[in-house]
Amino acid sequence: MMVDEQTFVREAQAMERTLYRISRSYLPRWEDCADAVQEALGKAWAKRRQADPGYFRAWLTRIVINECHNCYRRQKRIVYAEQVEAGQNPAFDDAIALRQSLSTLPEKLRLPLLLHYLEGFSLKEVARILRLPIGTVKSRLHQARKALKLELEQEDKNARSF
Amino acid sequence: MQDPFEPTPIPFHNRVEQKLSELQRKEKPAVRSYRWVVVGAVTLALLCGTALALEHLGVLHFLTERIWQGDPVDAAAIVQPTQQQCDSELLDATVQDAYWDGETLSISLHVAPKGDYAFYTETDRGRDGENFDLIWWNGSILPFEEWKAGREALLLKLPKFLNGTEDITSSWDWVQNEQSETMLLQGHCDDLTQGATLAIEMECLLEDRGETELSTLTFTLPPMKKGEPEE
Repeated sequence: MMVDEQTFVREAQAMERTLYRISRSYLPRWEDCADAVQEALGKAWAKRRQADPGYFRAWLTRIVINECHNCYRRQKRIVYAEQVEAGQNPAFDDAIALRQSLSTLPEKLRLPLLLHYLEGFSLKEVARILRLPIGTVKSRLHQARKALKLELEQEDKNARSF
Repeated sequence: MQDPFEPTPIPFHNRVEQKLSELQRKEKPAVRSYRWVVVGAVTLALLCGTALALEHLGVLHFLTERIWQGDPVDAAAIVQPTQQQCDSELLDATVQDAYWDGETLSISLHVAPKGDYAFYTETDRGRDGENFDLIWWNGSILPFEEWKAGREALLLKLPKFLNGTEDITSSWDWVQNEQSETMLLQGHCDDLTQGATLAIEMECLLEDRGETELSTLTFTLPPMKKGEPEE
């Protein structure tokens, strides 16, 4: 079985939000995210005949992750900056706090967390995307949840002390 | 999980659509696939020719004997300890077998918590840093989804492989076997032809209490034959 052109385009369009979030978790600027995703789409397109339609989402996600690594190595910097004034929208501020806390996690913890809880990939799919044993994925999710909880509690504590 | 990311910027969406359109426009004609059929056929012919030549020289026979039937020397290179003892109160640890290739001694180590712990180990030495969890309840291994909050976590830190007082550890990893508790510990050993008594030093941490236990598993290996090096 292989992925035909129509299926590729349809699935890629459906995954646009996922691809944005995954690339955004690596790269601070949307332009860099677009660069990485465009590059990934090109490479995936070239290999689509070898892809298994049943695993397209996981497969394309893996390619985007690789491209983000390439992009990041080219830039060699990560800057996280919020240009929105905090305090105006509590829900938005929570999202910012969550994102900032996520950004403190090392990639090996941040990525399984995003893939499983935000993007909805199963543990098996996450293991496949990251090329890890399932046991390792489970362990990292546990560590990521613990670390994120600590970080959010610290953020909350810092916010209250101002 | 709340979505922590801002909405997808419209220019990002536009660039994705632009790329997908471009890819569809650039689609090459199918005739290109015929070229790969020809390349594949020629490669296959070359491989067959090489195989015939090797068969003529007897090389394939040698490889078959070696790979399919194995080298009898390898079987003798795997031994079980003649005696062993572990003084840990938190863990049951046993060396199941050992293999020596003349330089590296590899042992398979079985570890299990004695109590009802959420047990996991650090496996971050010499290989890709990976950790894994085991959940124990009444002697049975539970799947991760049945992790029960409140169960005390028991962490086995990186063990040390000791030859006398010398730390010979080169790597420590888990055997990929669906959350198996069998670990692979490797250390550098130049000479085991007379056998040896070695030790594994283990440090456990009860996370919630912050208590640690340092224990030692001592084991004796009989004289060993040198096996083939790991690839």
